[in-house]
Amino acid sequence: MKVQDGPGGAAAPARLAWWKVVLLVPLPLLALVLLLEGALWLLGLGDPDERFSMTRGFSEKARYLLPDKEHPGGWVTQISDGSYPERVIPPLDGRVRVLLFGGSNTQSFPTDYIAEQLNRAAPEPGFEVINLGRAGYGSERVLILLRQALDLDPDVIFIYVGHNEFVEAGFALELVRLWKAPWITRAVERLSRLRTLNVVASLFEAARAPDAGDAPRPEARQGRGEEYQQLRYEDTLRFYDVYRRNLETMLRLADERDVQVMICTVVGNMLFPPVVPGEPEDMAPERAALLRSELVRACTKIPERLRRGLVQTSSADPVVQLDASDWGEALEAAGRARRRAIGEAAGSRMDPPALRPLAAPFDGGPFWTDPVLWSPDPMQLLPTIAAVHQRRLAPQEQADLQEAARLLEPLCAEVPDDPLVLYALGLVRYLLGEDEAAIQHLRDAARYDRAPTRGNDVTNGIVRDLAREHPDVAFVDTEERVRAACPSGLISYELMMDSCHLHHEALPRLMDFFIPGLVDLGKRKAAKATPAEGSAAVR
Amino acid sequence: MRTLIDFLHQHKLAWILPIVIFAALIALVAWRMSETPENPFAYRDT
Repeated sequence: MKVQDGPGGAAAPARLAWWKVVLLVPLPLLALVLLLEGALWLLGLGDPDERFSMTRGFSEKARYLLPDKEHPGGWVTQISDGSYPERVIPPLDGRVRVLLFGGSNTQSFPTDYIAEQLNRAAPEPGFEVINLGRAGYGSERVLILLRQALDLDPDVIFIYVGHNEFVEAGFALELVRLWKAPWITRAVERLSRLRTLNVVASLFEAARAPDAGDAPRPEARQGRGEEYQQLRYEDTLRFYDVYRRNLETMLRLADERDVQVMICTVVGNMLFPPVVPGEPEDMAPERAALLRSELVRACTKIPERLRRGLVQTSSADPVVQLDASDWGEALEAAGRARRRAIGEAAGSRMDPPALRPLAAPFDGGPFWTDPVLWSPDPMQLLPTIAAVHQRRLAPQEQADLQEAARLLEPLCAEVPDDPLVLYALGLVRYLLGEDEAAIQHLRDAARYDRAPTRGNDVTNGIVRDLAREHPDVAFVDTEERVRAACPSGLISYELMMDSCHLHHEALPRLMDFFIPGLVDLGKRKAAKATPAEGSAAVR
Repeated sequence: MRTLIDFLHQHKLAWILPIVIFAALIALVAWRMSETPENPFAYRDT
């Protein structure tokens, strides 16, 4: 370095070359950020996986489990908002403790049946099964609940999530609204990986949050917000990123506590129409409107008896989206009695059409409830479903369907991620007997749904990836196994009540997929137990 | 190292300004998030 004499004779540094200045400008900031991040990492503060979620805004402070004051060592859940009885969890008694996690599907799983089968397969040391499923819970809530439920000292946890990632109001959606532009939201999301931001946000939280007492209740379940209707597919993908992150965190937490895990793909109704199709993206509004009208024109070529309730061509023929209550499930006694009275008075609509016979283990259906309990909607939709599966086409119907396919193909080429086009083309190809192409289109329709109410190839693909990455984790590809039992690999209303729930009578057979793996996990855990930790027991 | 020290001396604004902007950005984002109605921190009573 060249040194010049100053006016007083002291050496003054030479001016730096401009390019050195440019290179040096970010260095202090980078050093500061690295220092802060390193210090916070060492202190264990501000972990983004612990603190932030970009899809949901559920408080980590809420207590999903409370110590049972009446039974020391026991626990009570507070997850049901009074809509269901809370779970009372007794103190540990030496049996293998299995916790079930997930949404309404898990909640509806026959817990007693699972426990009975597990205990039959391995009476020593025996199994205790606790169902912590709760309607509406997606991976975000399940992660919070699971973290707290590790205090129950489980030996095995079973995770069945993927249907509810777009069910409750979402934090990311509110962020989109807050920050106006999606690119800002994405930038914020990246920034939120910094521990520094999380710590500062925690300070704001402490300043803002009211004192909620020692055991604040979890937030009430929130309905689907209108914002879901406006999602672009790039926003949808961000929800799947968080789903993956949540599952990864669950597996890490279980591993840290030496808890055995089973993960599964989830089963969706492949004939259930897209829920939020969105609008064709990156396209002039005029062209998008024209494309929609061309789609309607193509769909009207599908014979009405084969599309009623499945494909909408006008406001006069809406899509029928069934839910559990349409089948008389999830109704209180008074509601069921009312349904029964109405059903018995209208005897003519109590004879549902037969659908397809399924292979083992789902042979011998139907699995649905007594039709006398149904709302009118299943009887509106089932004739269409039966006709679709029968595929007995008159020559004119065959010609019309071929014309529909001819009209839909160029639309599919133009907007290959449009759920409505994919669904219509899948239906048409299925009716024409082109099963392989049909199934792929129907799966793609679910994949590109902007806010689906069921798992799809994206969520199931994430689970399959994680299973490959974690060979110690037990994995059941539920969806593939159910598809194998369905003709053409098409999962439909023979098994499904709605988009994602199996008819209850079919559930024990689904559970049989999980029992052998759960038995193995329980035995593995028992084998790991050391004599110091328990006598004849697991621990 | 000497170059860096010279830089820190001669161009205070050039390195202080990015740090100030970064700090302001962090504060803004954290503050906006904490006032989001359904934010991840605010407790909501059922």
